[in-house]
Amino acid sequence: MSVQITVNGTDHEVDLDPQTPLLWAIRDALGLKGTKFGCGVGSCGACTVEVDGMALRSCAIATGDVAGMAITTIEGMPQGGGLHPIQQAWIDEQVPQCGYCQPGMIMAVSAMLKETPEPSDAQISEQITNVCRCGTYPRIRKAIHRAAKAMSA
Amino acid sequence: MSAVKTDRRRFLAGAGLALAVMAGGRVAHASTSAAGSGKLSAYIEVQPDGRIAITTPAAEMGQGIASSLPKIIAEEMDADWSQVTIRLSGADKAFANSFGRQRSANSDGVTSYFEPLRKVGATARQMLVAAAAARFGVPVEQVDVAKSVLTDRASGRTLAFADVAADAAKLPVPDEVKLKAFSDFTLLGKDTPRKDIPPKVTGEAVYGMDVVLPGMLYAAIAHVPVAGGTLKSLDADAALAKPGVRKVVALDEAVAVVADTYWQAQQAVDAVTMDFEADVRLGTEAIRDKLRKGLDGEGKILPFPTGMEGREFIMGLSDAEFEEAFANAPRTMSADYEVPYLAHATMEPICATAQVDASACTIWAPMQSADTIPPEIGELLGLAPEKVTLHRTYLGGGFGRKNERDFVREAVLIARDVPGVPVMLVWSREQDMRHDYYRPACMVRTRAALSDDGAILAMHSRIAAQPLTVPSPYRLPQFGDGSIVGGLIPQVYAMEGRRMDTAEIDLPIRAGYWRSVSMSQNGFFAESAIDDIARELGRDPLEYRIALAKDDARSVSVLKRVGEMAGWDTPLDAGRGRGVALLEGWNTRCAQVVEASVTDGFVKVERVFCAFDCGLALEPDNVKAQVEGGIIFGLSAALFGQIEFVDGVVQESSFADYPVVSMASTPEITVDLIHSDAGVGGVGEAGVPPVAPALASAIFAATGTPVRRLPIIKSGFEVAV
Ligand code: FES
Ligand code: FES
Repeated sequence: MSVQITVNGTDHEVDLDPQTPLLWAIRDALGLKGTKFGCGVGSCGACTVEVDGMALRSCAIATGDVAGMAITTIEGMPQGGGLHPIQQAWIDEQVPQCGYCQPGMIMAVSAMLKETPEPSDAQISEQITNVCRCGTYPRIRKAIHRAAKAMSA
Repeated sequence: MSAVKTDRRRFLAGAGLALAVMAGGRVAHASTSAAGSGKLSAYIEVQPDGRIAITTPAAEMGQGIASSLPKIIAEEMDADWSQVTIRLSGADKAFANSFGRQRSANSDGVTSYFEPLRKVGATARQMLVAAAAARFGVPVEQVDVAKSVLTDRASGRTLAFADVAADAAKLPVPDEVKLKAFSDFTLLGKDTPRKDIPPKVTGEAVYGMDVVLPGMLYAAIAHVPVAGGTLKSLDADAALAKPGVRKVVALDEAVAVVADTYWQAQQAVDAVTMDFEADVRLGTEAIRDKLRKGLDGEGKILPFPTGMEGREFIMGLSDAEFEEAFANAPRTMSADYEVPYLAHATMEPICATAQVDASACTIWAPMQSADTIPPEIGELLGLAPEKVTLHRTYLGGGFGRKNERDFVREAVLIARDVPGVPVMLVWSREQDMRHDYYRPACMVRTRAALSDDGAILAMHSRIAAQPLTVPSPYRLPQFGDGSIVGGLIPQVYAMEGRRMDTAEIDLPIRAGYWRSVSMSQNGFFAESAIDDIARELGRDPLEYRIALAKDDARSVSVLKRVGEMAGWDTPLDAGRGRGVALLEGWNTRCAQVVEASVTDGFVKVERVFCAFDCGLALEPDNVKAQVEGGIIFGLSAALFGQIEFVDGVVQESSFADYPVVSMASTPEITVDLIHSDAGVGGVGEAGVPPVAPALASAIFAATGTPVRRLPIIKSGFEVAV
C-alpha cells in the first residue's frame, strides 16, 4: 500500500498502511526527525505539524487522511532555508531547555500566528496547549510576542 | 569510507590538540592521537580553520551543560567563544569529574567539573603560549593571549591558536598551571547564548529517538503490568503474523517485538498476550496504610545522623531525650504530612539503540549515566567493558529517569537476538508512565518542643517510605537512606536538639531519583513544619524564618530579598494569600514566595517570586531559566502530580491523566539572582523544592486551611490544568 503526501512542498509516495499515524510517515518513512514522538495519543503536542496551515497533532491522524494536503514540518521552517522569525525569537529569548517539545511548539505557534497575528496573553494561554516538561512556558510566551512583532513589522 | 579515514588521520596528525583530564583534575596526557589508539579521547580540538571543538563531559538534558562546561575551558584558555563548537560525550574515563565519576546527577555538573575543566583550559593555554613563544623566539612571559590570538608583546606579532596547535600538542604537559582570579573572568558570569539552542529550534538536534543507522530495526515493548511481576508465558502468534515483524523477544519482565518500523513493532506488541506472576498486588490505600503504620513505629526504624563533626557522625537526641524535652516544653507542634508517588514523565519517552555481536556492543542513547554502562552491560553480555561503547545523544529531558540503565539492558538483550543489526527500542508513553522508577510516596510525622519566645528546643521527624538506595556501597547499613531522609530537618535553622529517623517500608515498586531527590519531598515536609510552628507561635512565616536562619547569612539574604520582591508586607485582597519557603542545598540558597488566590475551593497560583544564590552564576540567564523550569516542575507535582496503584497496576498512562503545568496554568514568575562569593553552587534541582510548601502556606494564608498532603487536589482543593 502506498500514500501520496506533500511535505514541505515536495510530493512523496510513501509505502505504508494508510492507517499509520502521520507522525511515523514523517519520521520513519521520510526520515524527517524534527517532528517528535511524545505520547502517541494526542496529549502533548510534541508531534505538531501544520496541515493546510492548521496545527495538527500528527500522532493522532492517519496518513491516508491527509493525502494531498500541504504538510509543513519544522524542517520546512522557513521554506528556502535560514531561520523563521519564530525560530529567531526562540533563540533571542533562549527558550529551549531540553528542546524536545520545541519543534511542536514552534509549529503550533506558526499556525496560531496565521489566524491571530497579534495574540494577547489570554489567547496564547488558550491556544498553545502543548506540553513542555522543562517548563519553558514563560519564555515561550515572550518569544511569541517577539515573533509576532517581528512578523508584523 | 577510505577517504574519511585518510582525512581523519591527516587532521589528527596535522593540527589537532587533544587534552584529557583524569579524576581530580590532573592532566594525564596531551597528544595529537596520531600515534595513539586511533580513538580520540579528549576535550579540545583546535581545528585548522580556527574553530575549537570542545566536548562536554556531562549529559545535555536541558540544563545547558553542553554550553556551560565548554565555556569553563574556553575561559581559562582565552579562546574566542564565537569560534567554539560543542560536542557531546560518550562514556570515557578521560571525562571523569572531580570525584572520579562520569554521570549527570545531583546538580553537580558545574560544581564537580569546575576545577578540573579550569585546569584543562589553563593547561591548553600554557602549551599554546609555549609553542607561540618558541615561534616568536621570546620568553613565554612576553606572550599575551586573548580571544584565540597569541601576541608577542614586544613586537606586536600575532599567531592564531590554529597556527601553533600542532606544535603545542607535542610539548610536555605542564605539572602546574595558574588559574585566573574570578575577577579576571571575561566569559564566566556573563550571558552568552547557549550553543545547543540553535539546533533545537531547527529540529536538527539529535535525541535518542532520532538516531539513524544503516539497516536499523525498531523494537516496541510491553512490561508485565504489575509492579514487581515476572513473565510466565506468552502467546505471540498474532503478533508474528503482523506486517514488518521480525522477531519476538521474551525478557524476564517484558516482551519485545522487533520490526522494520516502530509503528509496526508497537502494533504487534499490543497483540501479544502475556501470562505473568506477581506475589504482591498493592493499591494506593494499602500502601498508605503501610506508611502510616511505619510512622507509628511498626517495621524497620533506622536513625539518621543530624550532622558530622570531623569524621564523626552526630546522632542528635536520643528518643528518651526528645520525649523528655517534648513533655516539658511550654508549647509544642505535632503534625503529619504526606506526598504521593511521582513519575518523571520526560518529554522524550524512554528509548535506546544497541548493536550487539559476539565481540562487541555499541549503544546510542539519551543517558544521564555514562561510566556505569560499559561494566554493567559488559557483564550482562559477557564482554569486557572495553568492548562496550556508549554514544550519548541529546536527552529529551532526564530528571533522574535517564540515570537508570533498565532500558539500555533491555535494548542490548533485544539487539543480541538480531546480531550485528542496530535495534532502537522505543517505549510507548504508556510504558514510560507505568514502568518508571518513581519518586516514592512518603509520610512524615514531625513533633517540636518550643519555648514561649519561639526557640525550637527539640525537633523529631520520622519519614516512612521505601528506600531508594540499597545499602553498600552507597549507604551505611546502620542508618536510614539519605536519598529519602536527607534534609528532613534543615541545618540552616537554629534548633537546640534534633532527631531524625526513617521507617523503612518494603514494597515491590521501583523507586528512583527524581529531580531534587530527597528534597523533592523533604522541602515540603520541613518547610511545612516550620510554617506549622510559626502558626503555633503566632509568628509571621517570613520573619520567623529570618530569625531561625540568622546564623546563615546567605539564607537571610535570599529570604529578605524575596520578601521585598513579593511586597510581603503589603495587604492582599480577601481570598488571596502569600506563602514563603527556603531551600538550602547543593551549596545554593533559594527562597520563594507564592501568591495564590482561592475562590470556592478553586486554587490559582498567581505569581511566584524567587531569590536565588548559587555563588557565581556562570550563565546568569540560563540559571534563571533553570529556576523557572524548576518552579514549574515543582508546581506540577504540588498541584496534581500523583501516580496511583490499583492491584499493583499504575493507573496513569499519558499527560491526559498525569497532567503537568501548561501555558495556561503557568503563573507569572520572577527570579532574582544574588551573587555571593561562595564559589559555585548547583542549579538544576534547587528551584524545585520550595514551591510546594510556599503554595501550601499561601493557601493557608488565603483560607485558614492547612495543606499537609500533596498534591493539593488530595487536600480538598481544585485546580485547572
Ligand atoms: S506525540 Fe502527538 S500529541 Fe503527543
Ligand atoms: S524544552 Fe524540554 S520539554 Fe520543552
